[in-house]
Amino acid sequence: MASNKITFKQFLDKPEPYYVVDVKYEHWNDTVEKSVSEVLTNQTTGWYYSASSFHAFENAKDCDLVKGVLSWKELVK
Amino acid sequence: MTVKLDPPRVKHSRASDENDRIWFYEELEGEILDFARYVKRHYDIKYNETSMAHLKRIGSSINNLKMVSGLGFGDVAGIYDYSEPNPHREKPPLFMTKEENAHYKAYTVEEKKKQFPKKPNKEFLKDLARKCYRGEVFTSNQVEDKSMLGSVFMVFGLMDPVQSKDLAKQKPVLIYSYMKDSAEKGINGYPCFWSAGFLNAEETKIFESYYFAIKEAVDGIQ
Repeated sequence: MASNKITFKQFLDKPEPYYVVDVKYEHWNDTVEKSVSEVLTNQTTGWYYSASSFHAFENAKDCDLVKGVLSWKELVK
Repeated sequence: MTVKLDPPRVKHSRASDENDRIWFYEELEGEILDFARYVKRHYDIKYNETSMAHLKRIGSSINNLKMVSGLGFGDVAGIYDYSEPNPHREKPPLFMTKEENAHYKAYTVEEKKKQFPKKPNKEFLKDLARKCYRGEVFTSNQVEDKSMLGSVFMVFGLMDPVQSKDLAKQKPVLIYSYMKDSAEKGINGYPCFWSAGFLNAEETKIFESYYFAIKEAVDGIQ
């Protein structure tokens, strides 16, 4: 399945509004990064840009994907 | 129309200090009672035995749920203990966090008003060119390795993608900073700056014309 991920250069040309979820540094690690990346690749409904813990989305509902992964990590702790 | 409700005022038991499930059962109990109170007021019901029977049944079911959960956690006694709460208890429990205490920051970047390009201030550009020639101003043109720009002009290097996107819209061509503002230590022979300004294409053209005019005039002195 093709990912909707865009490059930084493409991100610069994208119009507003867009939606951002920026995960706090202390809650960002390799495991979370891997899970978020997998979920976003498979489930985003519009373009998205990711740079480390920063995620920008075309569609607001895609923000819930990142929030969902973080909540899941918290629940299984 | 969206109706926003205040959270129910619920007195939580000590069992809920450690057991999130009990905390939520107590909240649910409070929400149901709030709803019953609203219905009573809205329809001006004086007393209704059937409603009371329903509420009792709901209360008893929630109590059973709390008991089952309490047995699992071994804190049944705490269900009926309403003494002073634990001051270190996170409320609401962590997995029901709100945006302000969440593990992330979420926001919407709205479309901004169209920014018209600023009119070049020729006096300022002439002064900048003069200072640049004297070595009082450092510009991005002096950085040979362009990958070093983020390290030299730290303020641009440390921007988040939203800020970088905003900056890119203004189409900066030349970045400059005053040597008096440079940090004590530099990187790879370059100075480092925590503050910087930028010129757009039109301003850069004027700046360069002034700079080379000054250079030519100085070089021409015999």
